[in-house]
Amino acid sequence: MNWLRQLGGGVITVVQHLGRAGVFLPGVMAATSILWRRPGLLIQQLYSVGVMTVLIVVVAGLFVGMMLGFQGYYTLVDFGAESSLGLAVALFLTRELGPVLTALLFAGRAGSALTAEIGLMKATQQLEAMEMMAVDPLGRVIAPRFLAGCISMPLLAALFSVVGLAGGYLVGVGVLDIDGGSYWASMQTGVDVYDDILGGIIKSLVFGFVVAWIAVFEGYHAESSTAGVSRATTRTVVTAALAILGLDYAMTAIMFDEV
Amino acid sequence: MAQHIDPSTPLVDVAHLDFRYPERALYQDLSLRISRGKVTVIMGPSGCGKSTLLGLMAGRLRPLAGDVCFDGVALSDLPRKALYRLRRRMGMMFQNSALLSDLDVFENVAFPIRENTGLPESLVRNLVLLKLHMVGLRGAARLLPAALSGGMARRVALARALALDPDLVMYDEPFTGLDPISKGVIAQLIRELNDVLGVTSVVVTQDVREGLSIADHVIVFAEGQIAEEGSAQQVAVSTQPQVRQFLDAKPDGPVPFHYPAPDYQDDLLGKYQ
Amino acid sequence: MTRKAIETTVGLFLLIGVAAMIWLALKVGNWSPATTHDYEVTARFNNIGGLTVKAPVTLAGVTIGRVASIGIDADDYSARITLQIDQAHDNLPTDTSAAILTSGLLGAQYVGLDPGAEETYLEDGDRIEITQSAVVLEHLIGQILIRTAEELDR
Repeated sequence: MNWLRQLGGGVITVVQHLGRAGVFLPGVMAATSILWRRPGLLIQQLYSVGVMTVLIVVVAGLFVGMMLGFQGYYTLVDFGAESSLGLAVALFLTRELGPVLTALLFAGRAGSALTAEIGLMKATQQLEAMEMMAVDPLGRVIAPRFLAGCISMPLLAALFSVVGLAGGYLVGVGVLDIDGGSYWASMQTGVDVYDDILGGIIKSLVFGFVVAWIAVFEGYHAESSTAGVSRATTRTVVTAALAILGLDYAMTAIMFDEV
Repeated sequence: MAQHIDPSTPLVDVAHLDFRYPERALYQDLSLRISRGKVTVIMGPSGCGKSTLLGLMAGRLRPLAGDVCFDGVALSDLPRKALYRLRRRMGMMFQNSALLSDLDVFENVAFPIRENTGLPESLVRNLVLLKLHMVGLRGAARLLPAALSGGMARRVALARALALDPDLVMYDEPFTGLDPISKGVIAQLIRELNDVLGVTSVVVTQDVREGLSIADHVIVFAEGQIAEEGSAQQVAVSTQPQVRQFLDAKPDGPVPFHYPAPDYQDDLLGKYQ
Repeated sequence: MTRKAIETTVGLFLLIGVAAMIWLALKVGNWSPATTHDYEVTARFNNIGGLTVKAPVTLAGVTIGRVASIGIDADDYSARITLQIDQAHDNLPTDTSAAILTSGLLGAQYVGLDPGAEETYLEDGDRIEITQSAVVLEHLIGQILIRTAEELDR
């Protein structure tokens, strides 16, 4: 029965971890108030978290859009509906792939970097030193990074969708010879601003919040050793990925429930 | 920023302290006093909780029982804002310097000043250069921490600890891992700055020679208790077995050489497979 | 990077991101910032087929409105739908007919309006009397089968 005990122990550890994360969050959110007085901290983090992720988002978006162009065309052409390629690509991107893929890329690139950075600061006692200098590390180090993550995600997701549409256009019109006009026009008929675009934005906001939360939490609570920091970084990426996919299912079910 | 209070009262008063980590017990009913204006050196074998004591004195850790008073103010019930205000009168030099890695030397020393005071930049600059000059590193002001040697980093950490002219300066293992020259430099700085600036210094170290050379008052720990206390000369001739083993660097004694193990012969014969 | 360069880049990033979101909403979605006024008319159908809410309402093939709501008339068990028509097209005669049509062969269904000849026009709250229900494939096949059977009998 030893495995049962281990399983139970594992579950309890996970729940404890979750609880600690839950307790941590309000402190971080309260600490963001410091950023009204010191916007420079936020701007610096928007750069390292947001701007630095733009490249990977744009490249990935382009490839995904092009792939959608191909796949969409070969699926639709059997029904004679290839003129609706633009609509298909747009719906896939804005509803799902834009927010979800961007969030996964974000977790991998920016999320892991945040965890590693904060974990390292903890391991080298820099956070402790700040506390000794009467500077609250939650406000100075954690809150700017958290807020930067929340803000950057929806912007990056929108960028991904736009670039993806361009990629779909390149493939559809440039390679597969669809009419360019109907590519864009078909979107107008089927993409709803409230359901699809706004839904996608809401998703990316939620994803940004969750990924940023996980990243700063794992970094702040990493064990103070190299192995500990590396474990925390891995946990960030894995937990964030699972959370993104799980939340995506939940939100899709809620948002696209009615017609 | 020094308080003009009766100099005979201790700056830090630890009273009947109980503290333990989840894995092991540390202190029970511990009491000690740090006198103003003096260099107090705390020594003891590794793992006896010396660094933990500094954390308790700075209010970073909460005792399970008993209290720590800084200048008459009990630390354990203080709300965070009040604790932070008190911390401005303390400076701490960490074992690994703990310099902020993305700021250069100047910015690191300026950090506590900028964060805690509203002083204009020109004044901040003068203060920083003054502190750096005190530790002999004014020329290194624009280097990044990664470019510093261990000894230099420690000196910058020292300058940073002194940035706000604190009343209490704590040194966590300042000599560990340094070459003899750097050790001498740090020791001299601790001693001289204590006297020149009129601060109170608490040095936690395992380095017997350097520690005894700069101390006004020595406290030797063993097994969570104070084994010996007094001036450097008094402690050096102590007859306590734990203190003696520590000071004379004897491999075996109250702290045993052998980690607890079953009988050797039985083990070789395979009785404990 | 210098402080200024960082701030500029971040500003650019924020601008481009927000612009992307707005572009998606305008160009890709069907958001029109100028709120046009609509008026509503109702119509009764025996069978609306696959018509859904927000399906287009067209006149001569041009979209002039959307299906606002679909419901059931409790008295005669027919489908009752509300059409939201752009105020700019307020000259629909009262004997205009509405038919549920399919775009393309397998496409989505929409409401096509065919104007009548009356002098008075439809206003908010009016009802379109002449309607043509959707063509349900099964009924069509059933009719063909019946007709084929009749022909064979002769």
